[in-house]
Amino acid sequence: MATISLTRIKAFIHSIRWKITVAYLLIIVVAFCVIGYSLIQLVGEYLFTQRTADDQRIANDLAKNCGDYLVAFDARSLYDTAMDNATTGQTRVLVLDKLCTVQVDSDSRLNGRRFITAEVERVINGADSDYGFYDTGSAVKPWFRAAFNGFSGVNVMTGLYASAIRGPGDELVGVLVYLSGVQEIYESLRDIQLKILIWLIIVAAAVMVVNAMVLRTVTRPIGELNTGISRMSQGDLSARVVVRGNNEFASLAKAFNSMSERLEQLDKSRSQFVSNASHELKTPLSTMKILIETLMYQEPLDPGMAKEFLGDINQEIDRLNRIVSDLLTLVSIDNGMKMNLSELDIGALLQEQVKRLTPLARENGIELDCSAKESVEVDGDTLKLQQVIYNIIDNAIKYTPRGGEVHCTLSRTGKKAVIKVSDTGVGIPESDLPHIFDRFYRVDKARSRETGGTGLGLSIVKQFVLLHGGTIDAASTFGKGTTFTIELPLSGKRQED
Amino acid sequence: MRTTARLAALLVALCLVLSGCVLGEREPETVNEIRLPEAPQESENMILGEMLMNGLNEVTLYYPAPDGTSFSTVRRGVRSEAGQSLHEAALNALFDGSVGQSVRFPGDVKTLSCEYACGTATVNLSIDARNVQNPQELLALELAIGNTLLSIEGTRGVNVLIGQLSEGFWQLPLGVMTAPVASATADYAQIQAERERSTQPEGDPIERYALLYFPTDGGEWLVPELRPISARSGGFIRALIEALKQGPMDEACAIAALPDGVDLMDEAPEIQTLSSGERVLDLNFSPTLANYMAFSGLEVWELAGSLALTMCSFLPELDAVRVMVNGEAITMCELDGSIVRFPEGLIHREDFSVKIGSTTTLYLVNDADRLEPVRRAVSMRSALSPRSLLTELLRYAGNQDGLHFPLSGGVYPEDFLGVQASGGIARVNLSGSFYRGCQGLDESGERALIYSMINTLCQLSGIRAVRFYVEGSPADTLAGSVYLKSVLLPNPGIVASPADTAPPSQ
Repeated sequence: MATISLTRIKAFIHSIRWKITVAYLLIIVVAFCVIGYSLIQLVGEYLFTQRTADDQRIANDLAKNCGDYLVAFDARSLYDTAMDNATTGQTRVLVLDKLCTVQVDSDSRLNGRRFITAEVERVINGADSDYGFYDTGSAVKPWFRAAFNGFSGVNVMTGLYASAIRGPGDELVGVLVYLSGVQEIYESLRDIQLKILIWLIIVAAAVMVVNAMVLRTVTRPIGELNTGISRMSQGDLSARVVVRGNNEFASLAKAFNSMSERLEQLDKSRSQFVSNASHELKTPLSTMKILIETLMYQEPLDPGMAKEFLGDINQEIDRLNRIVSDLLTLVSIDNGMKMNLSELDIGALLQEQVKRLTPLARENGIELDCSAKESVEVDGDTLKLQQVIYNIIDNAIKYTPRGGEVHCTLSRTGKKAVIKVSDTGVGIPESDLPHIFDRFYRVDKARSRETGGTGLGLSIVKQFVLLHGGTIDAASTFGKGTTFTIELPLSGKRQED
Repeated sequence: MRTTARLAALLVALCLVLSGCVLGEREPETVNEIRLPEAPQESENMILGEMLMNGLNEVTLYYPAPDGTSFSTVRRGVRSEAGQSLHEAALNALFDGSVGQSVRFPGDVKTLSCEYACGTATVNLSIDARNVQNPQELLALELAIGNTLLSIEGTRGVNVLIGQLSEGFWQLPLGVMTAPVASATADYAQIQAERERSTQPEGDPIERYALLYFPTDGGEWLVPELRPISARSGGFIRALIEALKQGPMDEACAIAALPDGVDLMDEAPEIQTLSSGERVLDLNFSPTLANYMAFSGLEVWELAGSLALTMCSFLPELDAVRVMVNGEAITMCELDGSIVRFPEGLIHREDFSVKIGSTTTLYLVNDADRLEPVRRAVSMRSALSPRSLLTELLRYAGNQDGLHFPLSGGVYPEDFLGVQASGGIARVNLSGSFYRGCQGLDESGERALIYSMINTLCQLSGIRAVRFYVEGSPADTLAGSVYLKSVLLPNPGIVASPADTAPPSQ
């Protein structure tokens, strides 16, 4: 259980979701720290500047008022002045003589003591006034000078303003010290800090929620895709993913589904092909086995029958040979067959094949003609194009009954050479028409074998035409005849013309 | 994993840096080599004994104008000689012929005595003061004296006697002057109007200020108290008796000489003129007074002194009082261990003028190391003597309960080696014994001790600050806290307010 939890934790830490979350948090924290620091600095500086100016002015005014009193040793007036300007817990006034001895303290706690600070020292040595800030609430260091721009840990921050008390002749007779609590400024800054912290938490939480939602829309399709790929890798080619929305992930899901669909079809085709090939190969072998066994177990052996059986066996071997030859051709095409391309006259090639098959047509009582009088050049492999045209015309002759007609035409349409072979044969049912170029596909399986076909001819024809950059199409009306149309691109020179 | 660790490390480092920026504290700033002025070096002469007021004090002298209607004033620096109060010095300056040729003071008039106690001055002029052309001139003389002495800080009333007798006009007492008078003519006319009014039965009573003399709590002195008196002509004797029965307003150090709430007089008081020409007031008290005296422990001399001083200081031309209690005249009393006899029972003012005391305020320390003012009766001279006041403070050293002077003991009056007052500063020279006695005081105790002395001394006229020496030399501190090389001002803030000292309400 623990191992599983650890694994899940590790997986989570390595996940994009965690990394993006950490990155977002980092950005938010850094942004808030920078903004908060700047804000507190600005506000604090403004408040302190204002307060310092006000308090220093008060100290200077008090020092002016106290000059005559201090010279005249008028303790009561000094004390009353100090008390008038002191507020319990907020401000405090000290009057020092020029030996820094406290003569008047509005709190009456330091009278008689020497009060020596850096500010007092500077005033004693000639400055008109000076100020500083002290943390007066620290039990450990009651009078250490605190930072101006730092307030964490400050207990009671107090501003100390020293101002020179001058007597007759502008002579320094003492120092007035005005202590003013500035803790409320620190409290304000602490409030701001707290609010920034609260906002940081709120914004971080909000961003985390939004982040989780956004990440879910990103990682969910990835997860589903991952599941689909895993299923496919385990052989389940029917795996599909749900397409949601219309974004990049939806496109990816569609592509995946399309790919898996295609793979499934290929797998089916491969299975079909293997099945068909096995079947095609097994049929002549079975025939030969029967013939041979008949010969083997016949006593006494009839020479005539033996000759006939051997002739049949020879035909089956020829058929096997053709099938294997066609399969090799297809394999060769699938593996990237090399083409011996050259400019050739396709009209001459067509007439040559018509001429070659004319005896076969006459034998079957079929009229074969060709109307290809103009010269049309294409870039092609002569042998393969010969095989294409021969197969198409041979098929037309085979599936046209005696007394029928086969017409071959050649024309130029645009930048293509168009060869049409029409017959008045049995035609192809409409349902079979889309599959006639599939390997081992037969419209009429019994008759096809009778005619010695392998079921691979049209597949080879189509592959050859595709290798030449052309197309092949069949149009047929069942019982009336079929027309094959082959379009080949004209040679480069012809296209320029 | 490594990337995550790096990210975490980066985050921690960033947070530390930022927290350092926002929350960081600067190191405490140290103050190096503070250059402060040193206390001025003085040519040290050991201060011994007491030297007072040898500086000049500004006093306004009032002289009657030649037309007798108004006064001309002269602002003059007056130097008091050794053993002489500022009031006496001011009177000497006033009668000094060097000022104002046109001043018409009788040529041989002299100040026989000037009793300054409790903020009131009683001036006793020589009989030559009567050598004036008319009563208005005499009034102008008395008003000039009164105005002059009232101009001295702290003086609240001035009573003028001539030959130990209070002067009257048409048998109306002049009473104690409490405010300067601008015109003698107007004042004389006022007295005339009051005389006419007083003869009418339905006339408004006349108001005067009188000095009532009360015995002190410790039985040492008779201290004066300024009190407004209101009566018709001839009714002032009873008014004074009633005022004495009410007792002192300042009960901290004085007690009543007559019991309040009872009728004490067997017969109406009466002023008789003896064959010798002396005017004598007969006061015949009932036995109740004798019972009161036995119960309260009031001494005979206190009763006699209180009545003689009060009556003779106020009633015009009254030479003596004759006091009878339960039908017996007081003819003698014990005073400071010796018997004083009053022939024919006539008790004169001068019989008790030596017992006139004053009050002063001592600032003693309470348990919270704050100061509380305590009124105490002392001799008139002591009330003006810084050294005597310090000695008075020492009487409270070592008190365990209540108010005290925070020294444990072993310190004597002689440890105040000397006090010198000049220029508003009292310089107090303490002995080494006193210094040693202060060791061990904490900061608040040391502060309370020092400001007890300073605040007590600074109530004296002419002293506004104090500086301390130890064996004639400046010392840094007595016990480590209060810097003694500075001249120290009094500390009003260390005095506990009445709210601080009031007992908690039930």
